Amino acid sequence: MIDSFNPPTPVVADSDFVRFRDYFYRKTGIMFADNKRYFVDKRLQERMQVTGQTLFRDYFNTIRFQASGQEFQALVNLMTVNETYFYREEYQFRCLVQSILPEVTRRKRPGETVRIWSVPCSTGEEPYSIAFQLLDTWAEVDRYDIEIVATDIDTTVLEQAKRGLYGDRAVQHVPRATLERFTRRVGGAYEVIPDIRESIAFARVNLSDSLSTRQFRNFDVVFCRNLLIYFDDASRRDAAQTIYEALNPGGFVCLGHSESMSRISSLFELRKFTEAIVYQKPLSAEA
Amino acid sequence: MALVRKQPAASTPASAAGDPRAALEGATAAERREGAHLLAGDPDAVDPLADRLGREADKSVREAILLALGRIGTEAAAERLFDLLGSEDVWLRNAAIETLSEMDAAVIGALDRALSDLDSDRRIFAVNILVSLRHPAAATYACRAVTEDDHVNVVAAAIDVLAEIGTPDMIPQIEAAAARFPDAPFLTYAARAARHRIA
Repeated sequence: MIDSFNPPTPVVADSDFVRFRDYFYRKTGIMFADNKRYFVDKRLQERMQVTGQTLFRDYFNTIRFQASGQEFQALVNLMTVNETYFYREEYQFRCLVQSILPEVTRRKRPGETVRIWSVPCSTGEEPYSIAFQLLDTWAEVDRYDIEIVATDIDTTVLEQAKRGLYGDRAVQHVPRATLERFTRRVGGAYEVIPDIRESIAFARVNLSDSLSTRQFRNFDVVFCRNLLIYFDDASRRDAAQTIYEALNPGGFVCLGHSESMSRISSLFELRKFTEAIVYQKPLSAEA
Repeated sequence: MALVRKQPAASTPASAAGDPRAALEGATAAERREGAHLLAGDPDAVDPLADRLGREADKSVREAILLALGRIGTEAAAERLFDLLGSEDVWLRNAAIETLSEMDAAVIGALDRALSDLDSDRRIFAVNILVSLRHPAAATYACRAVTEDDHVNVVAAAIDVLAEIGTPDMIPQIEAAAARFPDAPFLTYAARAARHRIA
């Protein structure tokens, strides 16, 4: 007897998995190894059930041909782990202090401003990590004014970011001394101290909207990590243009470890530092 | 504390207040990029954008113009991009292919001309774009190339495309195409691989 309340789980055959994996890679640059089969199958089956499709072939046509691309985006969101925490990909913050800022400040006089943009900033872990790292480890920190601008498209996460309140899991990679210096305990949580919270400019921005990004200019460093993987190719190129416009000549952009600007745009130069690979707007470029 | 806060202030580039078409012909790359960004929503701007692209040397402006043409996304924009498939400039040709691959319905509208181009290389580029299109007619066009094109490399490219996006009812056309070129055994192999994938 067929249970109408519990429809059978759609089947994803071996050949379906391979076809999907190839397609997903072409569209996102993300490749699932064979040992991710269970992870991929579960999510495909979930979306097939949500959209009421029982055959993989029909669902695959939907994600390829749907004009809005909405279902493919839903699948991307499900296939990527959107987790954030303090000092995530910490090697990039070390790179900021040890390699990027020495180059940036070589072109500045003491007292001038170093501008850093964190986009998307989500609930604030990234911009606060940047602030912690600079205040903790950059010997030149008092010789320059440092502006950190943190933006996200989601106003709810921005409010959380401004509040600066985090649980144990979010701060687990922060050195104990840093945590004691820059946070205080509020109940069971850690609250970023007001001096730091109030020094970061939080704002809403949609990176895909060139009008809303027009006010973001003259940055020396942009952190844009694990965002572009959610975009289609045209939107990625749009975002790359936006970042290009936002940077000073010689400015740097840090992407997530699975992202590559070289696959998106030829406007930036690859820079291989000891700590990390980043991308640079050519010094010869017009501002 | 060395951290200072300034809210990003609204700023309007000088060219934004003026004529974007004039900005597109401006003296600096920044002005021309700005012109391209501002024209990205204007279907009447296809010709000025494409004409500028033909003369533009700065890579950042070229990318901005290609983005604008992609965003406009009309059949006219696709036709001007298809014209670039014959360019000697490899970067420009590849960038045009990338842009067209995202233009879906507009590309379909311009395909009749592209698949009838006298240059077989251009037809191969056009066929290869089909694999990325989010449009149900993409496979039909690839099938048409398989059936009608008289150049073996175009047919081979189209069979490869059908291996990705074809449907089982297209298998007879794929096999007939392989039979049309008995001196090209690789087509038989390609047809077999395609049949295996889409059956």
